[in-house]
Amino acid sequence: MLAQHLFNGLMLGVIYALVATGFTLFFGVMDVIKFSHGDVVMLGAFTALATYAAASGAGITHPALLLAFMLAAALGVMALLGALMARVLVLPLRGAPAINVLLITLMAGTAIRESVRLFYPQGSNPKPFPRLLPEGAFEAGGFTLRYDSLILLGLGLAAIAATGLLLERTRLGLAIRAVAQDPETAAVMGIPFRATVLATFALGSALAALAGVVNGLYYSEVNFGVGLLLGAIGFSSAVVGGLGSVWGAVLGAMVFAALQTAGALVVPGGSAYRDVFAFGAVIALMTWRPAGLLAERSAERV
Amino acid sequence: MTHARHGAPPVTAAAALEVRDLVAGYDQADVLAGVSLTVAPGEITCLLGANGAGKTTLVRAILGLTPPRAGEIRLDGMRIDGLPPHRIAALGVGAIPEGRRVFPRLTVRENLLTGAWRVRDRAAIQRALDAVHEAFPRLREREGQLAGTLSGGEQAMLSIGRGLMGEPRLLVIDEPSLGLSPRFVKDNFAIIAGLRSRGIGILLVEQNVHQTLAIAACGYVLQGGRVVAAGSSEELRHHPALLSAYFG
Repeated sequence: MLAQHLFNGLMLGVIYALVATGFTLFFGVMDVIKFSHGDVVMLGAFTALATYAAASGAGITHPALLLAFMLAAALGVMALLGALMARVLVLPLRGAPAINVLLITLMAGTAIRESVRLFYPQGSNPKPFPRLLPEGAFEAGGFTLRYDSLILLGLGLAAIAATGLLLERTRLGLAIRAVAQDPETAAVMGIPFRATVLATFALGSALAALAGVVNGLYYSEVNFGVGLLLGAIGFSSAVVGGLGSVWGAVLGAMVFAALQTAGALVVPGGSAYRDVFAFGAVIALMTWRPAGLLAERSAERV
Repeated sequence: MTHARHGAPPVTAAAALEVRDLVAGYDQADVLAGVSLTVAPGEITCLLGANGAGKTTLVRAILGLTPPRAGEIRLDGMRIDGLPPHRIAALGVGAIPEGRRVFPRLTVRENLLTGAWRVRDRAAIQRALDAVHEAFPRLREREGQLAGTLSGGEQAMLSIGRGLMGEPRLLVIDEPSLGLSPRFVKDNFAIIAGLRSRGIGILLVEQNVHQTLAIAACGYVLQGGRVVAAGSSEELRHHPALLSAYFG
């Protein structure tokens, strides 16, 4: 029983971590909170759904192939959208108060959400998300481990590990970390500021798309409003972890998922109150540690 | 290395850097009101002046951080004014910024690699790294340490090493002794004096007049955004404008 809850909590934590990483990356390089990030998660899921419809319509039936197309389209399109949003919404506001970026991305997120609701065929209804992963499960005692969940968990963890490696081992990662710590000095060292920002937003948005697809596959459903809650959770996770640190964001996401899971267990009435419990606990956590768990020391970034 | 201790500032043809009639500033105000200077390869040209004279603005304009409003900046004859900073760096301008500005949460090695970020050839990067390690063995010892944990003197070495990693044609050194303990200021000047043997142009911005003139071949004195004196170090040492630039 406990193992079951641990596994479910870990799965949620991985989805939240994928979202929170974007928040923390964007804050790292541009000192901004991009409030449309949750809606990019949702749009990623819908892009995958539309790709599924198009590919099945074209006669493709192999589940792995379908999934590969869906992931490629969702990640690719969201990466482009992320870079585009950075180019037209965030970079031009460099030097303006951070609250302006917050407002403009809040509006962009609403526009994305409402566009999906209005223009996606029957967009206001929840959509079944195709079950493309192998059915079946391990059973041991009261513990059920579904193969599809295991694959999703592996996929999410691999993406987080790959992001960590990219940041710590590659030339692009060095550029992102240098720009996050001191953009001016990075520029005079030869690191192009705008290109690095665009790449960072593309990376964060591709991770958001992956979160959307993993979330859709896990719950077998997606709706146009799913980004609101996932965005709020991802943002909270990033802040709990201490905005600016990727590992902090992952830790914050795991803490949030643990709180939700604990809330579902200990609060009478069960899972209906898990978000109330988790957000309440985050509020308490923030008053105890206002700067987050891995608080950003003076210039600590990414 | 012999260098001209007498005579006029270096001639234009040999200049690594040539600034002509530069006007630059922020918002409405012009900080630089038409500055011209040249930096010759193989020697140190210094830029002296009190706080607010426009030294920082001139450095920012050369590095591309504050695009000039008028005038020209040429690197080996090629116009660089108005280019973004990363392009200017790619053309061969190395920077040792004021306050050292090491990346505190990158390791010593990663800090050095940012200095060679535009270099694609791995062998060339390794050669530059070896050369820096040879000049500053301390940086090799501290390779995996976060730069934020280094002492001020070690950070100064790191900042100089990072500025050399891209094998620049022109090195701009801004206030290198600021914030260093007196003992290390002396070492730092010795290190900078040693850079002359690289044959590149060096523009040294400093407050420390006497130690600077001791290693520079020539220099300029800025006051109120204008060059009020120029000449060899020997000439500048006794120039009345130098005194008035700081105390006038």
